[in-house]
Amino acid sequence: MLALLASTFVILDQQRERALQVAKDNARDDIQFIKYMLSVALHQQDFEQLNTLVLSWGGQVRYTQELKVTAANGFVLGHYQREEPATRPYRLEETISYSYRGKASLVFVKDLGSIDAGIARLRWQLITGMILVGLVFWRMTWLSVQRKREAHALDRTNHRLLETAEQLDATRAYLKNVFDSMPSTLVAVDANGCISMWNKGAEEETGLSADTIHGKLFSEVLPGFASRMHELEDAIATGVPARIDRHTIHPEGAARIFEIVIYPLRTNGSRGAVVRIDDITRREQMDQLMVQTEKMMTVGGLAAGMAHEINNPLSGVLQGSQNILRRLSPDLPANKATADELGLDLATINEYLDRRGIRGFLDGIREAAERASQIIADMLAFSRRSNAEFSPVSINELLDAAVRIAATDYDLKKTYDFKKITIKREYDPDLPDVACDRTEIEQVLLNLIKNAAHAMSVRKSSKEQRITLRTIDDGDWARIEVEDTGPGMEEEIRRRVFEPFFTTKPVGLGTGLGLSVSYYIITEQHNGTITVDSVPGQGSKFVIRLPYQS
Amino acid sequence: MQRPARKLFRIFLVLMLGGSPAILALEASAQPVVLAVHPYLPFQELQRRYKPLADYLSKALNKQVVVRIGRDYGEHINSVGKDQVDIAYLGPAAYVRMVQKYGKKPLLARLEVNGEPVFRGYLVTSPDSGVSDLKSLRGKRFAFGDPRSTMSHFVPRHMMLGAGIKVEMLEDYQFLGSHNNVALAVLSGAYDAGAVKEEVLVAFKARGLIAIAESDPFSEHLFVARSDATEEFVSAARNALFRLSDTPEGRTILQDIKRTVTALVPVEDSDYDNLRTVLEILAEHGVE
Repeated sequence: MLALLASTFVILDQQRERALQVAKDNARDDIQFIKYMLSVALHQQDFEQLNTLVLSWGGQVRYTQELKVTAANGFVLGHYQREEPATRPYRLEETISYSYRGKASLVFVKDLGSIDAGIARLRWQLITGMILVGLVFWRMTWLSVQRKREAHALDRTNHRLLETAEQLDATRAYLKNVFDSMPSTLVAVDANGCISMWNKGAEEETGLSADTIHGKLFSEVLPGFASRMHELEDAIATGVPARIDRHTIHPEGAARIFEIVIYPLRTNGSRGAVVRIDDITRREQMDQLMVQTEKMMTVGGLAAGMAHEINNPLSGVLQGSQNILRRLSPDLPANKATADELGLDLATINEYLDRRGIRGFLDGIREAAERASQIIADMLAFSRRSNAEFSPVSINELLDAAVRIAATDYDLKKTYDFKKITIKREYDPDLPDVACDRTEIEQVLLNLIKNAAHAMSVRKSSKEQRITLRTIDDGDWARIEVEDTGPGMEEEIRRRVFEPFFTTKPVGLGTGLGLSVSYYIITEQHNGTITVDSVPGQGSKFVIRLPYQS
Repeated sequence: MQRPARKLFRIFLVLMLGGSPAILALEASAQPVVLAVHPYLPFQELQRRYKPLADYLSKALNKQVVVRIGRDYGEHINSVGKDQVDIAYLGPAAYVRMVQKYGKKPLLARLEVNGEPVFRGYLVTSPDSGVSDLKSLRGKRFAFGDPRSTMSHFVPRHMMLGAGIKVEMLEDYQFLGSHNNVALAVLSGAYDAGAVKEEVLVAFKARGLIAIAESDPFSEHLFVARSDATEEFVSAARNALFRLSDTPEGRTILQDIKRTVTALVPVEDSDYDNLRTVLEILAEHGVE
């Protein structure tokens, strides 16, 4: 290294000498040029121009230390002198002929100090460069030793890293499995509401794979939940989880109810949320049924007590009204004998009764009492013990029987023209028989058909009046649907239709117990379910599910 | 092609409108006032020195004033004489020659230098030239400035004649252009003596220039107007020039023309009578 440095210095010295020689040659060229220039001015006797030339050269040509033109008589015609002193002055002299009177002398001093400065700079750069090369060489040597040493360590680290990576993969797969195995719809979104993750539940719910929806807006992919975007944004902004207990959407047909929980996330400084969506339509229905059942049981207990108490006086009214009519009849010998005894003419009495409408009043008393009696009979149905006779019954046949009864039902005939109603049958021909109480199930079906007919009669429109009867084999259950094209029901009404004494029919037309009894028969006595779907303006659909084996 | 077309259009307009005063006024106001200066220095330098004066006059006369530098002394004298310029700056000799050839012009003002409206010329030499007075010029080399210059040719030539020295008696004589060049030529020994104006003598005194003779005082440089200039214009221009020395700004404009100018003062043609006499005498000796 030192030898290299020494040889470099020798070379530099040689270079300096060479550079100095070149600079001196240049200076000699310079003075010849200056001499020529000044000679022209002198020849033209333009002394002002000569002075201007001297000053211009000095001011503009670098390294000019001094330039002086002196006339033969010693008068200085032009003079330039640089203020800074020269570090290596190089002086040249010349003479210029002018006029007839001798020669002007020209002195030109050039500063060659810039050569020394350049060489010094070069030397410093070389030393710096060599130090840098040395450092790099030392560093590379050290690195190669280090590298070998580290190679073994690296192998071990690599091994550990691979293990860690495998564990990480396994954990990731496990978490993905957990995410996917959740029955809920799980959607992870970023702060802008764009979807970043999507589990299997979500795929099944929407039919869209995780790949196709990645990065799309939550509100676009799940338009039914777009109205909840502000809750989502609030939760992300505030970091407070949000819960929406009931979110109802009407995709097509029946309403679906969802529970939505939004869990805000903050990871590595970025915000987002995981949205869990659960379809709670069934659970909601079940809850409603539970409430319904409790109401029924209460009414059932009440009815059992009330029925006997009311039935006895009612029997008295019924029998009394019947007896009044019987004892006015001229056909009975006992009536005739008593009338003759008293000198009365039974025919005249009956004439009087007819004329004053008394017989009509008596008929009214009888009808009212019969109606009250029917209500009591219905109520008693709640208190019955499950001692019904269960036998295998074809539901399809049972539906046909109910339709026949409905068509001939006196009350129905009075109010509706059943012939105008189209009965559409969509039976499953292979539907297994259901073990049930034939009479009671028939009563339920009749009740539903009558309700449907009534609902459609209320609706004054040109829309086709149609009742669709449908049977479906639904696994362990037989599913029976009675669907109408009536006006449908609002949600408030729909939720209350199974409540006792709840009716939308005009006073006197409905007891408000028909559906309650039906409910009781299906749920309590047959361990089945009865629900209703309804879309206002489109119609209603009652769905009964009966287990094949009770 | 475009210029003649425009000119024709103007003529057409004037004819069509019967040379109405409005159009003539429009024509007059569209033409700027020309301030002419003889080329005694490089073009750019003269433009720099006279631009402030032109701007000042533009405001004072409410008309645009532009500076025109003559191509040479002869052309300058001719353009002034032929009334091709509105205001002209002239040296004393040039003025006398111009009047001689073209007649009098309305005079505006003359320079006052260092408090005097007159200046003098000097015959100068260097200490080792062996020249001590006018008479010792015989057989020597002499440097004049410009052949048309008052103080570096006409006046010294007249002074030499007065001392009985004709140029033929000199070893050599040359016209070196500027007064400064004369001074340098004398100091460097290229010439034994020369002729310069007073301010050049002052400038080179410290470097060894010596005066051997002083001339009579002659009236300074002056400004004239064109012969057909209205009285209103002449009066306005005079007043504007006289007022220059009243304000610091005006004095700066004067010093831009020449550092030693202190004012512009009234002038009459008779102020140049002594110079006129000198020139006539010289003419008789064939010097023009």
